[in-house]
Amino acid sequence: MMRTVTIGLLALIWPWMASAGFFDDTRSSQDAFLPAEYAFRVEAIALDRERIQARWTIAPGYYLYRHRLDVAVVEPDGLTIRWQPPQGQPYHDEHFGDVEIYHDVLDLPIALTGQGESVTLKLRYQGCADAGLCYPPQTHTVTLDLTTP
Amino acid sequence: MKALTYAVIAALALGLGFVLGGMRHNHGHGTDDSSPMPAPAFSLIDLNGEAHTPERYRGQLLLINFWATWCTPCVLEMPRLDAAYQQYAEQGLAILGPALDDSAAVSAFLKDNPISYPVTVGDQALFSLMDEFGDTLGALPFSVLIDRQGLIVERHWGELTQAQLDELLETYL
Repeated sequence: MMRTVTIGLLALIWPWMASAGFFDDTRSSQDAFLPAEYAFRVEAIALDRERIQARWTIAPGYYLYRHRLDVAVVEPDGLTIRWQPPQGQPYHDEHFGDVEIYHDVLDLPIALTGQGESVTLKLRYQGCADAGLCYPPQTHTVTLDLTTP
Repeated sequence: MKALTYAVIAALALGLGFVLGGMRHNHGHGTDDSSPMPAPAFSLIDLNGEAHTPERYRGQLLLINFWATWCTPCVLEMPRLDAAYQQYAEQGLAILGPALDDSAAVSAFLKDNPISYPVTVGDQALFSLMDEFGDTLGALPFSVLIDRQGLIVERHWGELTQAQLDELLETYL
């Protein structure tokens, strides 16, 4: 029984170890970094007709710049939004100077004013990896149904 | 019957392992190709109007460093690259700095932070060129080292530390 379990476990992890590069020496520095969509996972939900909650889940070792956040209504024209990014962690950036950044999770409440069955928002953000890699500004467009939150 | 059960468990585990392995690659952690490949064709015009092609650098060790003014690690590594260029240019080191940025931002940056090696400016076309050089992240800095025969021998994502730069030069120059 134990032998079977052991063999089964080995069979389970061996392909993963091989694909992870445990058995070769060809790993590059690319392995150390995530694509932007995995470093910064973004989602948004409509809480009701007047409130939207956007959330960025930030992978460990990555951060977002507070001053590079932007939210805009794509459509409909009749809807307007108000949002205020929460306070971030103070950070001195060689390029941007003294700024604020977010690690782990960023929750952004967005207030809606006006009439509409749905709303399409454009979320813009930019961040880096602590290990020395920066991503160009990212854009995530999301359409939310406001009738059945 | 018992043997059949064990065989099924092992097969399922094997399959799951491959699925997990596949997921890892889908998340963009693919390993680099260790066998050198020829550099793709390109023609980049620098801020002085001069064209830079792979043929121009045949016989030299060419480091192409993709960067942007909004990229802090890029800005941090540039003095290091510039010092290496000044020290080793006569031994055959060439550096080219394509900036994924707008011309005004790059010109203003270089006015305050002058460097010796040529800089080019572009946007989407440079992202495509990065892709041709084997990049999958679209992030900066991204550096590619092309040997004297025109083969890509190294790709590096992220800031090049002094130790990493020294090692590259010691290996290939």
